[in-house]
Amino acid sequence: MRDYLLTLVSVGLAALALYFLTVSEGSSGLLSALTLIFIWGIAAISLNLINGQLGILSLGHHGFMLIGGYVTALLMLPARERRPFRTRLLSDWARNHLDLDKWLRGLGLDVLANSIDAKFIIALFIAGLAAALLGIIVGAPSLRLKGDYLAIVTFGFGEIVRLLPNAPEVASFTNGPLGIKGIPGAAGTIWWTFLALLLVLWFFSRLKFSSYGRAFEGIREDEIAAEAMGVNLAYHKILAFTISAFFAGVSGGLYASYLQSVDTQTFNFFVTFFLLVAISLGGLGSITGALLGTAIVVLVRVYGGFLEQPNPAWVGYLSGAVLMLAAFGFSAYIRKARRLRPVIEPKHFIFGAVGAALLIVTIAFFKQPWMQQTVQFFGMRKMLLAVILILIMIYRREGVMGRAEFSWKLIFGPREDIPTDEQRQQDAWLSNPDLNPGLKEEGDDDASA
Amino acid sequence: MRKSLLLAVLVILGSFAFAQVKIGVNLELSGRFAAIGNQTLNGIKVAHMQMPKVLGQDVQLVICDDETTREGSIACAQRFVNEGVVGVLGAISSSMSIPAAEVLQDAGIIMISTSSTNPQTTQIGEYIFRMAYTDDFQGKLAAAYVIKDLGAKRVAVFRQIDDDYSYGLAGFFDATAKKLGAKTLIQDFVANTVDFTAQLNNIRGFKPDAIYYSGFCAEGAPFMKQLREQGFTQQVIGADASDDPQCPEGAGAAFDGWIFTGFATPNLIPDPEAKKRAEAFKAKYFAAIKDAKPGDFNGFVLAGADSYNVLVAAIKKAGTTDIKAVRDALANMEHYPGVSGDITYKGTDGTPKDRTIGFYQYKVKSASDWNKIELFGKSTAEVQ
Amino acid sequence: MTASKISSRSTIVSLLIGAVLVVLLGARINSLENYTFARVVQDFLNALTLGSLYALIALGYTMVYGIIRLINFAHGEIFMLGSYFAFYAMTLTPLPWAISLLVTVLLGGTVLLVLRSLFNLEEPKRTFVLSLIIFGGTFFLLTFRKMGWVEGLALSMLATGVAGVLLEAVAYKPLRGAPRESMLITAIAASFFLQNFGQLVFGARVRGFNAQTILNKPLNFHIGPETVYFTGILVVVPLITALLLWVLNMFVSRTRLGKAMRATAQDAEVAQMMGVNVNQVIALTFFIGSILAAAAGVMYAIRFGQIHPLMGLMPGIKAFTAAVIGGIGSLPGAVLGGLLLGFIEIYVVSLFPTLSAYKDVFAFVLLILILLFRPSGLVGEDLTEKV
Repeated sequence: MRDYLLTLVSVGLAALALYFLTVSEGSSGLLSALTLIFIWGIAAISLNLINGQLGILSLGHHGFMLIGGYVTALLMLPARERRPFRTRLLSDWARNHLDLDKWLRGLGLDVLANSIDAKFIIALFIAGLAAALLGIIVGAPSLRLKGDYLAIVTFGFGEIVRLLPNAPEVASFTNGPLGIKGIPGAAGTIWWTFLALLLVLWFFSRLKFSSYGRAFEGIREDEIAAEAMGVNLAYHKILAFTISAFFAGVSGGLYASYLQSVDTQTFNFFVTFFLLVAISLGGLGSITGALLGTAIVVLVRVYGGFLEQPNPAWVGYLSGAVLMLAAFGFSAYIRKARRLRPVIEPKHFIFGAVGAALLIVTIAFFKQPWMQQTVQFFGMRKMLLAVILILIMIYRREGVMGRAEFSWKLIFGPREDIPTDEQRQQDAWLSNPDLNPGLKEEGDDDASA
Repeated sequence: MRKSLLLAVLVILGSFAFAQVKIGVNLELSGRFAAIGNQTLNGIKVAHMQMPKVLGQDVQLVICDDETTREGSIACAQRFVNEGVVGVLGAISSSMSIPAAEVLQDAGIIMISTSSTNPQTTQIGEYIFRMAYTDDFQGKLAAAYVIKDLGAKRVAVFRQIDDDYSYGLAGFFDATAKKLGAKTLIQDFVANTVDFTAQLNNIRGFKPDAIYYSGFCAEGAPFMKQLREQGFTQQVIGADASDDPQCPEGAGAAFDGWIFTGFATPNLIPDPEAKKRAEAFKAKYFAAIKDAKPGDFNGFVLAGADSYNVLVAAIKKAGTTDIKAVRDALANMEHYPGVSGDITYKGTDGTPKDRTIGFYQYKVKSASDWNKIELFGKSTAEVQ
Repeated sequence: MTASKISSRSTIVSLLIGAVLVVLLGARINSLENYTFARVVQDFLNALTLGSLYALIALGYTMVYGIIRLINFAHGEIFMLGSYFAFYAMTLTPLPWAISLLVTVLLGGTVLLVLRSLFNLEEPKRTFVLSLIIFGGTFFLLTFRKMGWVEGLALSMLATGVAGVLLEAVAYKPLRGAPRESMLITAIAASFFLQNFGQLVFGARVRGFNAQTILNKPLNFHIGPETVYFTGILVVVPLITALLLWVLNMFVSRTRLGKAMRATAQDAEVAQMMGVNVNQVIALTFFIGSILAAAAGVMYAIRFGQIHPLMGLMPGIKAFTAAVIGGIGSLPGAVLGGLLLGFIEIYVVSLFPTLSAYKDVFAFVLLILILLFRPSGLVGEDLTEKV
């Protein structure tokens, strides 16, 4: 009961904070970062269901998001009245038949057809269903394959789906490689994504602690044992893929509405990689971890722009040198502290050597024109993400949270490391020989039977 | 608590003390269009050096690289919305300009695309302007040149299907070519294509008299190489995206003889006053940019400079940095003496009137030894 | 690496499928106008070149998978590094002698250390001779002349081999014994890292790779009224590929280290018990795979004339598909798969022009089909553990 109240209160506080952000000036940067965190968070949590809870590495998530994005775009597009010329992008068939307005009016639900919010919900739902269909198809091979072979198959599916909208046969729907532009951004996108995220969090936490969640984790731990205990492997695996794909589709639809355009380049393999970094950083198998990891990764991507500003080249060399030497020094320090031998590992020595070489080069050639010219440091953020992932894989594979979830017990629960009064009394009674005649004293062991 | 309050107050006061006029720059500085992006950036920088202040305040350029992706362009546009810029200069290509224009139009921030030529860009709204001509003129002019002046009756058209500019331009060329009575065959390719054997096989039977290429140099260089290797000797005509050092550097001697339409360089500007201003700017450019090679200066540099000049002039005319007032001043601008020519926005949807399109030809001996010859210039006013 | 056991039933099935395909293709060729014999020859040469390039890259994938069961996603980036090393070798030389000395010491030192550990060269005399060759040769090449494509190729192969070994030592070795999914994720991360590192250090621009050699001179010949257009590179690539394959085969089957590699591929633990230095073998595998990828990179750059930091993506994926089709873990399988994929890509596009938009989709569809229905590939052995 207390937990429910606490959750409600914190959700309310978060909503209040969001409201203040929306009305205050100069915070649109933070707002768009938060929107991105929510959108990618939904995608990460859905990927976490397969990669983390089910234990199957799936690399095709960008395909699900792409389907969700395109379906949402196609269903929402005709609703846009402001830009009549946009409808030239779709073929006549699509324009006349793929019209959510028409369907709703045909069903007599005029009140829904007039509200863009209602249409958006319906469009997202249909997008999720379409993605879920693909999820069933992608999930099928998981019954036959395992491990990295399966990962490659999912990767293949993801890429095929990414390349399909470019095909000339469907270009009349999808506008080919040019993509669809001018999708109406649903009114107040931050609220949409916030609500969607709340829904997703509720759904997935209920799922995780239900029999389904336990079945998934059982399959992850030991498939054969799980099957022996009566878990229907096929049903659960395909179910997991379907659910994951549904929410990935929803997140894709939200992203399409946020960007107000979709094209095949938006949902390429880098999206899946981005989500992988997020859930690995946060903790594979933990919903809170997925959200936490997403927050960190999105913040790096949004606010890391300063890393890529144009700077004189020597800044790059110098920072490279400092980083290398710091890494070398740090590893030597850790090894010394843990009394590992040898203190300076040959592999780490390379870092130190390269760092020293860079430093020498910076100092020696400082006046040279190629040192002073301004260079733009492209790709620093992506490189940083890749380095983070490699470091996590090597040093802390379970991520920040491991498989643990956030719970109010962590903050408000009883402290289990400090003994309570009752425990103290019991300890005192147990260790007092007067009160406890059967207690053996130290040294009194010769006569023991 | 009190310390942070004090800090906050100081920061707010401080930001007033260093009040600046911020102008965003959204360019493709990395990726496939990086060469053109950097040329434009240099033009903006030199213009900024000439006019670093407006209304008594410093002008601060906030540079954002959109990495030649739509997502990057949208991210840059959103960043500029947060930073409170008066206007945004860029992007270069229509594919990146259109998504940014959507964001900036919704936020009510001025955007001046330096070289987007697809007509859709300025149709997005009244806050969106451009410094270039539009592709309907470019396509028509190119088609007229190919069919009337070169006498071609069969033209193979190569277009990049995932780029708005290339796709649109090829469409305009094709429509005009057909109207002038020529037969065309369109071939598609996507970004980063290096192998054109399929497309070249397809046009072999078509026996074209000339070839029109509406794409960029990242694909244009291997395209030209393979074209000449496969024995095609036809004249190739390109568009302003081929005004890029990556083309001759990538294809080497195979690129010799390539004709293209592009932004006007000083010699081709018909108005003598404008020509003088352009020449003066060119001198300042080479004085300011160290290690500038002669091939680095082209119409894109002038377009970049003028985008900056025009925005600053509009701010001056409006007398305030209130964006709506500046936009009105910009929209009513007439006969502004720019370095790329006379600029008039009054009565247009954001595209300047009477821009000059130049015709150039590459003379390439090798990848490191090449230059462009100016053939002639035509004004968009002459084209029906 | 692995014996190729082809059951008789699957042979008959494959032969039947092959016969049907040939008949269909013949019918299609007949129906197309303009498809002369010259075109067939032209396409054949193009396909042979493309297939050889895929085969070279696929060999790297298959060797690494055979030994440590890792799909090295970063192999495409090694391929890219190969072209860039050659590019810089050819354009930056001749270097001023001070810089040349610095580079020689750094590069030569690293190469020497790596080679010593790879090939067990502990004897001082051998080391002295080798270091003389390496240092002297590198210094000579860097300082005194502008490198041509052959020297560039050689230097690039050496440097890229070393880069491959370094990649393994830094990113994959700490994860030995970890679940395979973790290693795959690390490989993906390494791939993205190298791509963006390349963009950072080499610049994101596309660079022209002009070899200015006899390879680019047209060597057209006539068949009847038609001309077959090709340049020297279309002959050189298959030749160099064949040479490298022959050398590799000799190495793997005749030398002691090659035997050690085969043993490790079969069963690493037992090999270790029999005295094989597994670390050395793994490092050697990466070294050889990277050498082959570098050769492919240089030849790809000469053939298509330009390089950019993301050029390894698609060829890497296609080569990986080729390795899987042929049978991952099997060397002849990789070559077969590479050639097959090259031929399919060129001929499908040539015979069915309307399908050219689906060119890349084919590779992925084939990949999925093979993994689902014949995971061992065309030539590989039956891998029951996978299914």
